[in-house]
Amino acid sequence: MKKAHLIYMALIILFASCQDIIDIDLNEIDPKIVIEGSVVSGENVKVTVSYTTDYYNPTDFPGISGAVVTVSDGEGSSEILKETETVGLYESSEIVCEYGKTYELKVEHEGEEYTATSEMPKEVEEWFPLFTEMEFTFGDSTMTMMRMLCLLPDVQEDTTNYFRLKTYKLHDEQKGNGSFNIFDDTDVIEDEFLGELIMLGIPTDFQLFDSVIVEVISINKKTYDFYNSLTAIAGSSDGGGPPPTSTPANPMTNISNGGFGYFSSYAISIDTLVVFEMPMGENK
Amino acid sequence: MKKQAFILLIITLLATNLVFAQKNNTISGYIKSAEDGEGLIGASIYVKELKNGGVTNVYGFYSITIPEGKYTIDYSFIGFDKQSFEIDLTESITHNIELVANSQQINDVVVTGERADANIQNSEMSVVKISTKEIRVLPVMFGEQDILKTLQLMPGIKSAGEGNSGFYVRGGSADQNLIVLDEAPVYNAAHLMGFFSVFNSDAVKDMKLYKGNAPAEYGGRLSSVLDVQMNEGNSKKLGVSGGIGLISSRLTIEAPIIKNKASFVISGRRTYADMFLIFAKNDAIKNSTLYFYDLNAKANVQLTKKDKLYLSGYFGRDIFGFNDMMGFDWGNQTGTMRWNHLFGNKLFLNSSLIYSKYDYKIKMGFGDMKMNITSGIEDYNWKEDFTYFANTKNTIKFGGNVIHHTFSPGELEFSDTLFDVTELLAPKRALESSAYISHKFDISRFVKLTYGLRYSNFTVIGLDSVYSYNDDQQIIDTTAFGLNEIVQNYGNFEPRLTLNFILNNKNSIKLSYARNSQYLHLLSNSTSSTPMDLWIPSSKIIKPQLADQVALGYFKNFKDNTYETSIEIYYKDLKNQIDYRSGADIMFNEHVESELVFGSGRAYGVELFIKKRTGKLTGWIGYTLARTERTFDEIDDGAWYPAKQDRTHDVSVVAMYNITKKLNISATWVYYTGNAVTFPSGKYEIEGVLVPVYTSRNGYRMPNYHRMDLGITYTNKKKKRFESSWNLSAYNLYARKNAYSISFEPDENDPTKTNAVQLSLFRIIPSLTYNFNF
Repeated sequence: MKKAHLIYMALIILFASCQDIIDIDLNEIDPKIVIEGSVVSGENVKVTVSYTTDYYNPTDFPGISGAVVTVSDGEGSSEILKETETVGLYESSEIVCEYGKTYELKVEHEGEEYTATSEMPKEVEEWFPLFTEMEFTFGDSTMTMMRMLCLLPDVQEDTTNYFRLKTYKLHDEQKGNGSFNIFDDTDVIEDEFLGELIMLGIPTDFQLFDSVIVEVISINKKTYDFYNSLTAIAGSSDGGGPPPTSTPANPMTNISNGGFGYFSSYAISIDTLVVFEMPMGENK
Repeated sequence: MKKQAFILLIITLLATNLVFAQKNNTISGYIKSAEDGEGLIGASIYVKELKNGGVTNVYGFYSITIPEGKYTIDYSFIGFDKQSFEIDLTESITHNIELVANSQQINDVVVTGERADANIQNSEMSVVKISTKEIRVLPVMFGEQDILKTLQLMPGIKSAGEGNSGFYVRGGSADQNLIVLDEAPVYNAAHLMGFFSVFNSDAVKDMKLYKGNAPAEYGGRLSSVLDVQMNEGNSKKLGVSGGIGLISSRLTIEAPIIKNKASFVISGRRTYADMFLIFAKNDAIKNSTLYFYDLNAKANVQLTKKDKLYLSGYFGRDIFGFNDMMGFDWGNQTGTMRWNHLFGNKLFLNSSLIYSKYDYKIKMGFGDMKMNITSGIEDYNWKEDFTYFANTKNTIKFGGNVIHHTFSPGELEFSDTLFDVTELLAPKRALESSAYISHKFDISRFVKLTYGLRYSNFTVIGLDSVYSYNDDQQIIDTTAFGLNEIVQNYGNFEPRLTLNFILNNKNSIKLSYARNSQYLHLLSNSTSSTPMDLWIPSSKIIKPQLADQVALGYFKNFKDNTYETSIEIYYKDLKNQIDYRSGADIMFNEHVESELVFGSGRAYGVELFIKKRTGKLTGWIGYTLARTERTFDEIDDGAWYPAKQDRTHDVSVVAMYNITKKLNISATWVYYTGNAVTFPSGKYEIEGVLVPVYTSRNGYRMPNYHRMDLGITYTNKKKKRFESSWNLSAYNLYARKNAYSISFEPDENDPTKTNAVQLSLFRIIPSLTYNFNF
């Protein structure tokens, strides 16, 4: 939690502490296969296959070429993905991704077989963006931050739906990758005009009148769990640092046979917007 | 059924023993200190002719029943002059005694008030006692005396981390310790993230810790019971004592209300560590607050010869404020009302009404946004404890209690320009009750036995909604329960036994077995204790934790009880232990139960202890060789792995030396194997984010920890009634950089490389404290 961070910070400042780089022997491990596969409705299936590396090694992850990557849609059509020019990246050319289908992935490499399944969730048809400015005072300096809210009508039936929200500036090459802002729809807000709403909200570094892209991505529970455990472990959405969270563990994966990574399917609802500010306070 | 047979056995044993109690007279009364009227706990009463006797209970009361005859009775308590009393016992009498402090020994370090060979003679084992006098001279961090940190110097009790007042007993986790202050449980015994404990040592009279085999009158936690008694207050004259230290000051005032009949004591303590923040460069930090305070108060009144009333309370709070963005305060409140009543002169009854509360509040405000979070636990406890002093060979204790728990997992209020939301996690209520009987039976001079049975019961009552979850943690069923409707009920029989074979005056062998059950569980979202740790009750999903412990010990004293040694081995089996799923979210989560996994544990080890009790040089050496493991189906495919608190070696060396009557020097050295931790062995990338690969839970070790502390106490010349002393201490004398945490971070110059970065909190910390009393 952020609050705990603050207290630790204060304590560390209070008691002159020190940080040193030390030698910790970490075991070497046999490289394990890492599979990052995604089925996006309306797009080709993309699967990256690579190896893990020892923890102290440079950040360079060798892609695996020559793996046999098969994707089927659970209804009889299947396709062996073609290796692309990027080593370790495989892409489909025929499979059409649709709502309701359950996709099956099979990766064969050096006599081992890794499988995973993923169900395509339903695309969000309607959503409304909102931007509000938030002010932070920190000592003498004041910081403003643009918060983005996405309101979705509550269309759920009896199951829980899961979402990921990506927002980034128009020409940002990162495209919001690497920050995992995920939500479920268990909390419903009542609005007297719009009815039952689900709110997805994140802080952003946008300025007024920036052109930005917003992706409201429907994900399934397995993907949600993967991202959730990934952020708890890597603390990536907090901007790094060792969070004082519970014991570290590998993220939950839906890949079988000891493979790392995940195979997911999503439906993306994407829009380009200009940041504007809602006049607030009148509806209270 | 086995259990019924066991109960039958106890009843038969009790009955056969009581038959012998005939034609006897009883001598009973209170033993107090002549100086301040405080009841003396564990003072001994010894009948010379019978070579037998008894000890006072926690109220200073004793009762012995012996045949008619002429006797010489010795009343003694170490540090006090012995008093002998000759009597021709023809009828039952009351005899109250006031012992005078021994002026010669007053500056000596007194190890315990009990008789010199108590460790050999008692049918008690795996018990730790430290006198408040020892606590006063031992060096401590910031000069802030702390009973919980001194306890960590004993074998089998391990520190939860650098400077931390949290502790682990025989491989148990921190929440498996029952900490009671005048019978009231203290749910979060830590101040300032664990760097200080809630116990102001000026207010503490006596304490005793059972390492998992407490007698049947105690229950509710698996690993230990720490029973702390507060001072009663001087019933003779006004007394003021206090201390001024580097980061805190203390003041205690005690006085008689009616001389010899009623008295009170109030102790207060406040830290001012945040004064240093004004030196900070950053305005936000400069405007922050960070302090805690404690208030202990107690009053007692002797209503009649047979009735005594005690009122005691504790109130402590930590206050943390970060600029005006955030306010965070937390603390415990306890209150105990006790009424001692004597039926005849052999049956002692203590009735207690006990209140205990722990809560925290977080307030945050950023511009228009405001957020408040509150959470806590609140107990009302009614308790009846009888002690029947049958004769010098038999003491029977029986009683029971009922606790009403209210768990408030959290309430969140959020408002900003857009929203105004109040979210309340439904509070839960439960009744925890128990009944026990315990028999202390000296079968002969060589065989002594304490055995008993406790039955504990836990009932979760409505309003409540009970959810069932599938393997994907999704709710598949919800059952609603009405007000006071029974939601879930658990009960456990807990047999306890300690057997002492006294080989001779210097040697004994002891054996013990105990079963303990625990119905409350602490969820922590951090590796160290935080104010936001959450107590939750057992439920349909969370089964009560159970522990069975057997221990075997050999005790030997040398040189006229100058040296005390012991070796104890133990094995503990733990069931229904709790851990978290990967990425579990336990803060403000209504479905927190679905984030938990359940498994078992085992802990075993050997504890060696040698202590020099008297002389100019006193102190001890403790060594523990231990292993603590857990297994969960969901973790590493059910393989046994070392628990976080698994420490192979743990050594403490404590020495106190009286150079002159006025000058005392003390030193402690501790060494222990680093905690078992989980470090990554490999890594990969997802969307450009580095993800560590973990191969096994707790497969690595933190670096070994060692540290030496030094303390010098100089007692000034006594002027009239005014006494004072200076205490200079140095924490971490040789400035070792012990690891507080280790994290893996990218190298500043070459981001593709990863470094292990160790955070060490404290180098050498000198401190000076001035103590006084008059």
